[in-house]
Amino acid sequence: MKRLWTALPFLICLIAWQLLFLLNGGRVIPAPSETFMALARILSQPDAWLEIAATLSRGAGGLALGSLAGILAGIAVGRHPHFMDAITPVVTLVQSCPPIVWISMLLVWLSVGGIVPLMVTFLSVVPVLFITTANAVRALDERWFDVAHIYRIPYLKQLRKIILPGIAQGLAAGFSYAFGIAWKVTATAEFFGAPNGIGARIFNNYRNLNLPELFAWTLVIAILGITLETTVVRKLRK
Amino acid sequence: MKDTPLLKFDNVSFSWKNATEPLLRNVTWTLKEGDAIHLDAPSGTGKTTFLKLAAGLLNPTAGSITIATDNIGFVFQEARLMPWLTVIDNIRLVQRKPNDAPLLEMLDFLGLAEKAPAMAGTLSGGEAQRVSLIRALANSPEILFLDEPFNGLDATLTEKSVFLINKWRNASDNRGFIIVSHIKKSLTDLNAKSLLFPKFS
Repeated sequence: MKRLWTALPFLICLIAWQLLFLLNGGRVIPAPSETFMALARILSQPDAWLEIAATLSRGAGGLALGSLAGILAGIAVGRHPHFMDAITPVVTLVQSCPPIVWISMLLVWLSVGGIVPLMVTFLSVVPVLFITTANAVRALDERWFDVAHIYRIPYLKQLRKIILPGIAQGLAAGFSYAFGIAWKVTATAEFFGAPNGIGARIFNNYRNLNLPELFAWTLVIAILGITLETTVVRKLRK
Repeated sequence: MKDTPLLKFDNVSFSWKNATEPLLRNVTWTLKEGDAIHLDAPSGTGKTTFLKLAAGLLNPTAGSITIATDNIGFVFQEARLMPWLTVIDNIRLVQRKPNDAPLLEMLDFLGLAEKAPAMAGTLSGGEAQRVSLIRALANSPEILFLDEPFNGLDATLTEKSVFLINKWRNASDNRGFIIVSHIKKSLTDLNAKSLLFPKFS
């Protein structure tokens, strides 16, 4: 019964898709059947899995490096409100830039390459984790640090036993948000300037107006996104 | 050696930001080795602030405070244990030389043997207070700051806590403590001298 409720919205979407296809005669919307055949064809080729692996590794790399940098910077700054207030406008500026700004700049500097999506993901993730970490550290009870001061607890021990456990919940929330961003931004950056990857495949099919494959790759993105969301991200939120 | 200063207030004044009246004015005072001092004053006159200044948690507005050691212990009015660590890990956190034996012995003595592996967040107020005292004694400090250390303890546990403090103090003659407490019997048992506060007679 519960499964039926989960499946129902997808079923409605599928019916709507079929109706839209019938209404406009396949000029701008491919038939669902055609799309699923294209999907099966794509996934039967080993190349497709390499494309998927490229996107996943860029996304994961950018996310991992960006999280690390954001968390470290957030911890460093969170205990110094004045410094944090000074740096926050800059971070907000970086955060408010749409990814295409980074994409075009990096393309100019680095030209086309797989490194661009990774770096754009990195730049999109850093501010999110920086701000969540810094705020979580700032919100830590000052009384814990009184204890640390009284007993002269060394900084690394404070980090492991007081700061990190104290901000764990806030970090998990920031991380799951960054996860969603990383996934979208990586594919977008590939669309504009990578030789391979899911985003690059979408670009190729868009240029060739190969609608069934364009939709098929979109399905790949959606399915992977849902899978990651339901496995990794939900676990983090708990 | 007796009479060596452990802690010195030199012409110390302190006022909170935006306060009209300073809490402390030109206080000169010394805690010597062997001293057992009871800060004696009505509540709301700044005893806790005085302890925090002495322990270096607050800076004086004027004057200077010198402390002869960095090995100190502090029992806060609220226990201030990390709720995400176990009881024993809370004490290990501050211990300079890892050694569980004396910690377990003290936990056992204060009726907390079974609580050692429990998360600190699950303790009652009185239990947390006892853990806080054991934590303060874990490094055999030279100075102990005790802010209402017997809060939430019954007569027996208060006596046992007093016993631990006296045992710590008698183990060496270069130790001293300052206590804020309203339990007269304990103050007598601790042999604490009253320091009228904030007059510093």
